[in-house]
Amino acid sequence: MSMEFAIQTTALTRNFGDFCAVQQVELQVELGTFYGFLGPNGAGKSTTIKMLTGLLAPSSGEISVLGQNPAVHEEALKMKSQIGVMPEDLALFDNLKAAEYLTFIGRMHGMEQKVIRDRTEELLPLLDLEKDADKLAIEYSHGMKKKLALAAALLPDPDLLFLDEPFEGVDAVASRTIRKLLAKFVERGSTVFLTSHVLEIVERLCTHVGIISDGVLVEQTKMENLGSGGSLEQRFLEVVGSKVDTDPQISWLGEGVL
Amino acid sequence: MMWVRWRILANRMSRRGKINSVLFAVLLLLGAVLFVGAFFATFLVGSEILPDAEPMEVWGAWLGLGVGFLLFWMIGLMTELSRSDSLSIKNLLHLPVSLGWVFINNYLSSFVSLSIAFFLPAMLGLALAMIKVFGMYMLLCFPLIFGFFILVTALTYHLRGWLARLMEDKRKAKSIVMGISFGLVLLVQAPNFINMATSGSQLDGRVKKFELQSKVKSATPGPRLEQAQAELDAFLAVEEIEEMKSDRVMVLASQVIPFGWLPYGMFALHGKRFLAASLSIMGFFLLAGLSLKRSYRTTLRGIVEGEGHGAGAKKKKGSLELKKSKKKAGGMPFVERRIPWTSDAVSAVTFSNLRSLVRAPESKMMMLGPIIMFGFMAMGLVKSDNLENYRIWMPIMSLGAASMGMMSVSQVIQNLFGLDRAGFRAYVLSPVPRKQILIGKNLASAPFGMGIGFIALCGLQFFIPVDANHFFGGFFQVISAFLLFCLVGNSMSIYAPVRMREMGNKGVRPKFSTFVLQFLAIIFYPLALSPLLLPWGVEYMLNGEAWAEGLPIYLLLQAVMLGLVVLTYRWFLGQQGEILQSREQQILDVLTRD
Repeated sequence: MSMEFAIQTTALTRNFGDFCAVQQVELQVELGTFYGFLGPNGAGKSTTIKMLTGLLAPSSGEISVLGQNPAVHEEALKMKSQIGVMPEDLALFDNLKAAEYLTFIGRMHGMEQKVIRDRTEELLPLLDLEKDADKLAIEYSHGMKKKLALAAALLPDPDLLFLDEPFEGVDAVASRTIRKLLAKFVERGSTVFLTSHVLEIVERLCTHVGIISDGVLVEQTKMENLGSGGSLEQRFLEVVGSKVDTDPQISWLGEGVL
Repeated sequence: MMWVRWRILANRMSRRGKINSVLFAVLLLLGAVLFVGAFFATFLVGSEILPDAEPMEVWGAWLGLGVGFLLFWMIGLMTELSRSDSLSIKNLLHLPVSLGWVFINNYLSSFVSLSIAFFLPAMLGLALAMIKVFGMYMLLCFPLIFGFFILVTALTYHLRGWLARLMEDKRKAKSIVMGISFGLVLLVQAPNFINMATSGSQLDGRVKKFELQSKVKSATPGPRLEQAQAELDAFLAVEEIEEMKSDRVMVLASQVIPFGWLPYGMFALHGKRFLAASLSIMGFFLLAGLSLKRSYRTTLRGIVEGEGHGAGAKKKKGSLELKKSKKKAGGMPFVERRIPWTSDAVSAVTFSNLRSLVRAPESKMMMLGPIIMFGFMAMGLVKSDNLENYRIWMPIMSLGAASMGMMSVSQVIQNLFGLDRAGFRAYVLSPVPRKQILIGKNLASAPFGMGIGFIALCGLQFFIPVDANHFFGGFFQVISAFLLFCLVGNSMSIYAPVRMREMGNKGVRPKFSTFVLQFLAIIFYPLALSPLLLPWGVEYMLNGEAWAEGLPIYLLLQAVMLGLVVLTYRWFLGQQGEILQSREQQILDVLTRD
């Protein structure tokens, strides 16, 4: 598969028993792009990201991430040394503190002790985690856990970053910091593959977008190509099959209040 | 409230599949039969036995029922605390109901428990038997029984409320659940310890009595018989006084400890001491009322005013900052340390895991097994009269003690990734060869596994000292045993991983095949260790050979054996690393499945 793509899949499929979560997906994510992967709840976004990062084996199909095939052991390890991942359910150890966890991640990526320390000292205050540095991960709120997982994904300075719902549960200030960080990350030539429910953020940040619905990739295009058809929200609602024009109705809503 | 509790229970069962639902229904049916059976059994047995019963026997019967109930109640409480979906007052406060209503209803619904459903009919059956045998004045049994249940439930409700507030902090929650489990295990094992500790003196007493009785039987009539009879009478009189003293102490204890007021009240009623029985009843209701009142006030303060998160939390933060600064002043942080001759990734896995294990309440709880085991072993050795005879068996004894110790911490060695839970993803996502992860994990479990082996060895050396040849040979033997155990444990961690509960020290519903594999590993492990006894056998065969005289044969052979085991370990580890990488997604699925 070509190395002009950071991610390329061919007929990627994943079944859970009789249920097909991801069906014949053909993703093409160019190097140096900010790719937003959208879809309603249960559409198959997280399952796809898990397969791309090696957390879940596909039922069929092929994957190439940075030119490596995750199904081959040696290539999988090489691929993992070049990517940073913030998975849906995170990958934290309950009984480690933030700095300890980052040290562990850095050493697993073969980083120098001094580099790990320097980057940790930059990342923790930036993500507002420094004041809770003495807490264990188990004591963190969901948002704090997300921020620590993001710090761990950024620490090895990867070529490709996978982020599954990075803004979920994160406060507005941290969210702004993360957005700026990610924009800079892409500016210098790295690639980001991100899933999010917040269409405004995707619209503002991403250069490319893919929309998955019921396990099928229904749209994959540059963000600028959506311009003629209106906003991302409108396009999203069209392709996932929502009745855009219908007003929601509950029979008793609006009757006899006060 | 009752309906919600019922739905939580029913949904929990139905989520586990049809077989579990059927089993649950069968268990409910059996339970109903058991509860009715308990009522009739205590009534019939009581009616039969009570007419000839001594007051202390009545006291003992009620003590047994009370203690039995408390034990089951504690187990139920522990299970309830370890569940995340238990019904908390906080989940109901957004509804248009008063706190008082929620409080009372929640308290009343705590009566719906298996322990009460079993012990209440049993106690009612025995109470009816007492009325039938002794007369209508025994009707006071009923308020005594209800008072007892109300006191236990009120105190538990108070305790649960307090624990629930503490357990909002997940770190504390784990420690609390582990602490309760720890206490319960010690409580269950306490009779064994007491029995072992006192068995000698009780046996001596029985032997002495038997000797005196034999003397009386064999003595010919005359002064000798009179003397023997006098000795026996004196012995029996002392024994009776001792028994009376012991009975008095026990009754006194049950007067002082509120939970003992049930047997004491029944004891008093049997002796027609109505004032004492009435005081027990009043005590029950008074304490229960006070407990509920205090519990309500604390709930009100804790939930409505948000107490408990202010001053205490600030104080804690301050102390943590101090600790942090102290740590900064020290040397290299623990997780940054390196192990010589290993890769950085191995050191990272080892020290991060070691740090996690030392902090995890689960691993502290796990150490309870070896502590109890060594306690029993030490007691057995202290009480043994012929330790010298065991000296020749030392190699097998030290291997046995060490491997039993290692097996008691098998949760760490045989389920390497169980305590990592979601953290296992970090290993799957890491670019490190899986062989290095296994080495790091094995090294992290070494202080637990090998440490226990060395403690066992030194403990045995204290009781049965052996020469340096065998003592130091034992150290090599422990290291070999640990490495072999790691090989078995690595395979189990790869093929039969078990997800550990977030609260508690148990696995979450392992598959049948996993259970069978883990069981087979326990059987296989002693077989895998059998080659480590070869040096002992060779030394025995060479005994008497002139050339071997003075040579530390055992030590040398154990060193050779260790070398062979290290080679075997290295060879297998490469294979296991490959298999781990092939199966890591399946392992992740098991460890993180809801």
